[in-house]
Amino acid sequence: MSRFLKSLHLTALSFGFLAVVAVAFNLVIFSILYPQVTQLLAEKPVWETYGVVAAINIIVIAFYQLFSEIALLAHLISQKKTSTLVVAAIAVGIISSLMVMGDISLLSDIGNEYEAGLQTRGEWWILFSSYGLHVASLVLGLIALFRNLNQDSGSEEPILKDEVLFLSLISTGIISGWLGLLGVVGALAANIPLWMMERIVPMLTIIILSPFLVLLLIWLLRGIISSVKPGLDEKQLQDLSTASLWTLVITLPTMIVFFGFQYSPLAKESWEALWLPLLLFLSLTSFSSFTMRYFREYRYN
Amino acid sequence: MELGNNLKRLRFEQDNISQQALANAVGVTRLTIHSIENSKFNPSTLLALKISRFFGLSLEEIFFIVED
Repeated sequence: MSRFLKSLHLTALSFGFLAVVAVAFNLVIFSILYPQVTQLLAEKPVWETYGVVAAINIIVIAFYQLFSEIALLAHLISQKKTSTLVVAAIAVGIISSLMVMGDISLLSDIGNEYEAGLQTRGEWWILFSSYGLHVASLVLGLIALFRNLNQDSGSEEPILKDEVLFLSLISTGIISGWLGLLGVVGALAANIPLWMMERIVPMLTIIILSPFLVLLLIWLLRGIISSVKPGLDEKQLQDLSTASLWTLVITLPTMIVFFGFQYSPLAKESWEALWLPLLLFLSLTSFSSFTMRYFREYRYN
Repeated sequence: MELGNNLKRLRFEQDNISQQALANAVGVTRLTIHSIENSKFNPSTLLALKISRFFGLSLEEIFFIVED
């Protein structure tokens, strides 16, 4: 591992330990404030003080996310091997990074709605879910950063046709796809009102897709910059073609079923906001899973 | 009928070159070479000719049909 990459990892790890304390501290603060705010009993000086501390902790978490994502992506691009852990840490980390910005907006919303005497349970639910993601991101990221530091960089043999980035891209598609499917199914089961769905679903869809889009952008840029053309070899093209066929076989009938279902008396109000993200994540999961299946139809030596 | 090959033996005989080195020479990924060696993937005519040119052998000396 190069000195620059090593120093990136160490910086990320340092912020990581601070972020663990920051996340724990914020969870304690939110646990104290939640019953007071939802019952409209919180005193302004108290929650303002807690708010300042929470904001400082959010900045620490944001710095950790920034350095850990840069370190892990740099490791992925420069190393010869990838792993499920690194890909999962990157994917969950990108989603968590975007949710950090959402946390600031949520806390601001909670403050304004509390002052207006409105109920804030929905926003608290989203905030606690966001912190669940931050915890997952911390766990995955710290383990991945530690393991990368101790990992042998392996052979220095040059690689002209990339497979690691392609593999990571497909893995991220699977992770984003499944997270999206679980999110949509959870939202359907939760009976969230349509007006709230229409506000949060487009934003959450983009956030969950973002790891896949980031890696896709890196893969495309690398293909443009690289002197070796074309970007995919014949086996990769065959794998993608076969996966596309199976995705079409699955999603076309599903689209017809979804179209018919919206007229069924069983369809909830929220179906209107959720059928498109459901189809999108089903397509992504299907395409990525089939591509991975054909791509890895063997074992490494 | 399947397509068999002597790629692994030929790599070993040719200074034990790695799958990666062969992949770099013929313009594919290492995983593709691995798939060909394990008869999981049949190369195109162009790729098969590139491989035979790399080893300096004819196609029939590298690839063969495996009868059922």
